[in-house]
Amino acid sequence: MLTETNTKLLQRRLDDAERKIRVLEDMIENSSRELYIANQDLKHKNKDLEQIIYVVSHDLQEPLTTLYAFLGRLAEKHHQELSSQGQEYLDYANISAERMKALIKGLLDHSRIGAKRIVETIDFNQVVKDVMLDLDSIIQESKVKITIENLPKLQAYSIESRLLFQNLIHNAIKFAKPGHIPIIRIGAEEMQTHVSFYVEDEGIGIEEDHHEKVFKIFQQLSRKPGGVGIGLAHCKKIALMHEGDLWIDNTYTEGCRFCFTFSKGL
Amino acid sequence: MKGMIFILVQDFIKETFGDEIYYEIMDRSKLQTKDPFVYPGTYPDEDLIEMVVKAAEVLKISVDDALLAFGAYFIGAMHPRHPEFFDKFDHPKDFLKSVDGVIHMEVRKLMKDTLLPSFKHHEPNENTLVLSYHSERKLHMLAHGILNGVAEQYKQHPFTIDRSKPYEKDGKEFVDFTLVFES
Repeated sequence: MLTETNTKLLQRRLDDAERKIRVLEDMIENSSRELYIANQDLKHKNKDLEQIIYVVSHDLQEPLTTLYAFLGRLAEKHHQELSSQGQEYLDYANISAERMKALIKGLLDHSRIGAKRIVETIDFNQVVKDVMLDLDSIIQESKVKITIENLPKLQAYSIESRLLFQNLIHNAIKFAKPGHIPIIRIGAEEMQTHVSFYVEDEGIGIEEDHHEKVFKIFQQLSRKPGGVGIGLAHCKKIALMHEGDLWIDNTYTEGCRFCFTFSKGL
Repeated sequence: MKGMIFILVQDFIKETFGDEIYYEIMDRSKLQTKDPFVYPGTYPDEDLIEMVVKAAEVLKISVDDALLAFGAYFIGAMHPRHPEFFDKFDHPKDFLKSVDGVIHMEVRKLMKDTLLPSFKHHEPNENTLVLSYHSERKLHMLAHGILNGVAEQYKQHPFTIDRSKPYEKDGKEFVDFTLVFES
């Protein structure tokens, strides 16, 4: 049986618990508000940053085009007047201008990803088929063997999804083991909230130390021609746009396996 | 000071002396904080000192003894809450060496505005560890209690604790704890 003292103590405990709940509720409310404001602020800053990247890369194109044109004229009209060293310098200048053009294009492309977002129901089997048509010449040339599992239909951003698969398939062909026919397997698995895709190859692979680095802008692990190191940064941005993520499976040792997730609730 | 410390002091009093004593101590304490303490909160150091002083009064013990007892309780209460800090070390010397560089670093990640004491260490020989405590809070007896608690958690590796005379410099209290482990 409860004594009067025990009843009073129990009542005090109950009062304390209720007051604690109120304090915690207030804290949660304040934190949620702060989080909302910080989130909005971050969105604005991201937008500003994208705008800056767009403007800077756009404005850099104009003087570069002029530079390019004059380098062209110099090579065309005054080539004979230049010493062999002068011609060599001109070649270096041309190569650098080409690279700068590619870098600016990469930045512009990166800033444009997701600029016009249209969500639609996409059959990913069709996406991969279209990508393979686009990459037909490199597919024929490399004799790549591509195996595709049945892929799902999903609400996603069509152009960006295609770009993601295009970059991953192109990379898998590009980084095949020398003297070997590239092999690529593409598949997907339905999870509770996301669909998890993979694109795996039996190529030269990527060292684990570089598994994070490769997704950063202009980070190249090799100097293979035709790239500036932005393709995987595009892919990462696309996966994040789909409320998912992109990473390299560090348990896979046959080559490289890129895994990415897309939200089912887009 | 973070709310967790206040709640653990309250839990310690309730578990050790019961609700009646606990409420007597709380009723006597003139706290700046009017709301109940909660884990994510940050509260004035003076409130903790006030609670400890009033607990010592009610329990008729010295404030130093109250801090010693709470320090030991604190480690016992932290072990089940954060086993990851304890379980990776078999020896108390290794655990104590990790306090500044590992444990406090993790605490800072979780509680950005926290003010933690410093426990620099050196080993004059294989069986001895000297921990140099300094803190603006001047709670070296709590630190001593914590070391007692560590000894309790790692009973299989007993050690003695020798405490130097505290001194103050630039608003901080400095004390050396010399721990000698049985070989």
